[in-house]
Amino acid sequence: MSLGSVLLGVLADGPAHGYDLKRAHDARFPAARPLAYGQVYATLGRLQRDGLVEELETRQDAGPERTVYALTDAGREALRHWLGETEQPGPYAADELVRKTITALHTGADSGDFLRRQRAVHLDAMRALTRERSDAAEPGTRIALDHTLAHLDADLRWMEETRERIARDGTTR
Amino acid sequence: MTDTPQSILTAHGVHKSFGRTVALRGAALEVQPGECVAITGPSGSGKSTLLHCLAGVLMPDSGVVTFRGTRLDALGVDERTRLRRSSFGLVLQFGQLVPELSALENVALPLMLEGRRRPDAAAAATQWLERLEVAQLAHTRPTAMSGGEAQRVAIARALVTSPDIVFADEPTGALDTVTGELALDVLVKATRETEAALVLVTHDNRVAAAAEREVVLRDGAIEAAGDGGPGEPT
Amino acid sequence: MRPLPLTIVLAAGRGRAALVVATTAVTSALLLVAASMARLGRDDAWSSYEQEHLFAPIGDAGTRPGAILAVVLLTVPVLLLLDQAVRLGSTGRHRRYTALSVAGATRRDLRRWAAIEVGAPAVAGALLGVPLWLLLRELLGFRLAMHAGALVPTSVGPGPWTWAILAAVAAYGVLVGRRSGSRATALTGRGGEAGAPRPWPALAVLAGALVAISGRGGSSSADSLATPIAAVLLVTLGTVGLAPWAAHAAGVRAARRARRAATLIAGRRLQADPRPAGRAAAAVGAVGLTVGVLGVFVGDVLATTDPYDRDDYLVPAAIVAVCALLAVVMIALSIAVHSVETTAQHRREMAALVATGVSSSVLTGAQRTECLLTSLPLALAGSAAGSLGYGWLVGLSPAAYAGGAAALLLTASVVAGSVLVTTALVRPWLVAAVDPGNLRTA
Ligand SMILES: Nc1ncnc2c1ncn2[C@@H]1O[C@H](COP(=O)(O)OP(=O)(O)OP(=O)(O)O)[C@@H](O)[C@H]1O
Ligand SMILES: [Mg+2]
Repeated sequence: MSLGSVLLGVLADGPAHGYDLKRAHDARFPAARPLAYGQVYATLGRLQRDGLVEELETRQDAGPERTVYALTDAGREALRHWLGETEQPGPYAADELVRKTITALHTGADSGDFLRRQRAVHLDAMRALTRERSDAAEPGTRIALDHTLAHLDADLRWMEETRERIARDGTTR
Repeated sequence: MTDTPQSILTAHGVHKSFGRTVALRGAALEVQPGECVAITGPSGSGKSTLLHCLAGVLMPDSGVVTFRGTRLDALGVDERTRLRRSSFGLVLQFGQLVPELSALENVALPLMLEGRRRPDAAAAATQWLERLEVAQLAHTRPTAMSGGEAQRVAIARALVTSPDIVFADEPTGALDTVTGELALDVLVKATRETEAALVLVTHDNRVAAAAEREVVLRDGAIEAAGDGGPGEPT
Repeated sequence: MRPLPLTIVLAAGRGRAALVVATTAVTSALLLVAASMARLGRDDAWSSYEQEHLFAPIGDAGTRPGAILAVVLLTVPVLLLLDQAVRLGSTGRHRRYTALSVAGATRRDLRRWAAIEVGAPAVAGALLGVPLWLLLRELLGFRLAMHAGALVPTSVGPGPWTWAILAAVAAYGVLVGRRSGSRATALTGRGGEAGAPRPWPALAVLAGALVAISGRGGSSSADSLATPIAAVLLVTLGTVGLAPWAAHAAGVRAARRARRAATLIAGRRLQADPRPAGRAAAAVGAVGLTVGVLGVFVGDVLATTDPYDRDDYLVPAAIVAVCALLAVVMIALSIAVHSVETTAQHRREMAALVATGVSSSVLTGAQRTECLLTSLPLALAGSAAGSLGYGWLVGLSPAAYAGGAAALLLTASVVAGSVLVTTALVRPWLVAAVDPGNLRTA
C-alpha cells in the first residue's frame, strides 16, 4: 500500500495526471529511486479500483491524451489514516552489509579492510547527498535527504564500532 | 599522493609525544589551496594534536610541516605568531572568544594587531558579523551568547584576516544537530567564498561529509587518504 | 592520619595558607603596636617620652591618636592582600565543592570547611602576631630609641587588649573564609556582573573635605586632632569606596579610545571586573597620601630644623616611608595574585588567543596597562592630596612643598616599578595559561 499512500499524498496538493505525479514524487523524494511510468499507472489503477481516486477529466494538449486524477473522499480518509499510523521499525538486521560483515568474521576474512573501503563508499554517498542537500531549496527535499543521511551515518557508526570491537576482541567466533 | 608543488600545506613524518603518551607517530598530510579536508578518527587518535601541529601551535618532536614551502620550524616564535595571525584562521569547539570583549571587538582584535586603525578594523569586523548574520550581537559579550552565536562570531574572527587556510577542531561539537549544521554551513560556505582551505577535525560523519576529502587518523598515523572517487580500487 | 583541619587546609593549597598566615600575622602585630600606643599614659606623657625616647607625634598625647590611626590604616593593604589570597584557586575550589556536594556534603558543611580552610591559618597567623610584635618592639622600640625616636612603645604592651586583638583577627579570618565558602558554593554568580559600581562614596569624600574646612577655622591647639582625624577617615573611606567606580570609569574610557589591542583588552577587563583593581588602587592611593604628607614633612624639617636635631625627625620619617613602600609591595602582590587568578580562570580563552596569533607579550602588556590604568592616577592623586592637604592644614612654608613634589615623583616611580616587577613575576603563570594543552576539550 506504501506507494499508493505516497501518491495519495502527492494528489493531496491538487488533481494531477500521471506524468506530473511522477515528477512531483521524484522531486519530493530525491533519495528514492525515480518512479517508472508503469509503476505509476499500475498504482493509480489499483487506487481507482478501491475508490480512493477518480478520473477528473481527460485532456489532450499538444501531446498524447492524459487523464487527470483527483482524490475521492475515501482517498482523503485513507491518507489521513495512513499518516496517523506508526511504522514498523525497519528490519535492518537483514541488511546485506551486516550479512557480509558477519560472514567475513566467521570465515576469518579481513573484515577490517572491507569496512575501511566500505566507509569510503558510504562517505562518498553522504558527500553527494550533502551537496545535493545544500543546493536544495525546498524544505521537504532537505528533510527527505536528512533521513537518508542519518541512516548512512548510523551505518558508518556501526562500522566504526564493529572495527573497534574486532580490534579489541580479536576475531570473535 | 605525491608532493605536488601547488600544495599549500604539507606535513611529513610528524611525531609528537606528551610524556609517555605517543599522540602522533609519523602522520602525513597535504592540503591543496581552497580545498576542504576532514580529519576523522576515534577519540584519542591524535586529531587535535595533528591540527595543532599543522597550525604551528604545537611543534612536532620530529617531522616537517611546511606552509607555502616554508618550514614552520625554521621560523622564530614571533614569525610563527605573525604567520598564524595573518595566514591561518582557527576555530575551536567553544571558549575561544575573549570574555571581556564584545563580539565586534573580538573580531576586530586580529586586525588591530595587524596594525590596522581601529575604525577600519571595526568596519571590517562589522562586515563579517553581517555576513554571518550576527550583526545584532556586535556589542554583546560572549558570556551572553548562545553556543551557535558564539561559533559564528568565532568564525568571523577566524576569517577576518582573509587567511589562506582555516583550521577547525570539532567546530560543531558543542552544538545540537541543527545549530551545528547551520554553523558548519556558514563555515564551509565562507571559506569557499574566500577561497581559503579548510582543515576540519571531527568525529561526526555528517560533518566529514561536508568536506571534499577525508583523512582517517588511527593511533597517531594516517590510515587511508581516499580522494573520494566512488568505488576506489583495492 | 593527619588531623582533619590540617587536611582541609592543605587541600586548599599551601601558597594560599602561607599568605593567610603571613597577612594575619602582620595585621595582628600592627594592631598590637597600635594598642600599646593607646595604653601609653596620658598624664605622664612627658615622662614616658623622656624614658622611652618616643618619636614626638607618638609621645605627645595630643597627636597620638593620629599616629594610632596611621598604624591602623597600615593594616588596610595587608587585609587587601588577605582578601585576594582567599580568592586564590577559586575555580578549583568551586569544582571541589561541587564534587563534595554531589558526594553528599550539605551547603553548611561546605561553609564550615571553607571557614576552616581560612580560619585555621588565620588563628595561627594571629598568634604569630605576638612574636612579630615583640620583634618590632625590639627593632623599632628599644633599638630605634638609641638612635632617634622610638616608633613602638616599650614601657607598656597591649596588655588585655592582646586577647581581643587575637580573637578579632582570627574571627575575621573565619568570616572571610565563610564568605569565600558561600561564594564558591553559590550555584550562580560565577563571573556574574554585580552591575557597574556607583559613585556615591564621593559624598563621604566631600563630607571629609567639609569637615576639614570647618575644622581649620577653629582652635589649632594640638589637642583638637579629632577634626582632622575625622576628615582623614571620611576621605579614606570615601576614596576606598569610590575606587571601583573610578576603575570602571577608567576602563570604559581607555577601551573606548584604545588604539592598541593591549589597551582595549585592559580597559574591558577593568570594566568587567573593576572591584579588585579598584580596591588595590585605593590602597595605593592611601599610600600615596602617606608619602605625600611625609614628603612635605621632611621638606619642612630640612628647611627649618637645626641639623643637630634632624635625625629625631628623619629616622622615624624614613621608617614610615619604608612601611609605606612595603605596603606598595603588598598591594602589588595582591594585584599579582588577582592577575594570576583571572588568567587561570580564562586559561582556555587565553590559549586560544595565542593560538590565533596574539603574542603573549600583548597579554603581558594588557596586564601592565590594566594595573597602571587604576593605580597610577590614584597614587598621584593621593600623593598630591596628602602633600597639599597637610601643608594647608598645618600651614607650612612653600619650601616644604618641594618635598611634596619629590614625594609625588617617588610614589609614581615606585608604583610603576612595582607594576613592572609584578607583571614580570606572574609571567610564568601567564605562559602556563597559554599552553596549547589548554585548548583541549577535556
Ligand atoms: N597536552 C597534553 N598532555 C598530555 N597528553 C596529551 C596532551 N595532548 C594530547 N595528549 C594525549 O595525546 C593523545 C591524542 O590526543 P588528541 O587530543 O590529539 O586526540 P583527539 O583525536 O583529538 O581526541 P578527541 O576526539 O577525544 O578530541 C591522547 O592520548 C591524549 O591523552
Ligand atoms: Mg580533539
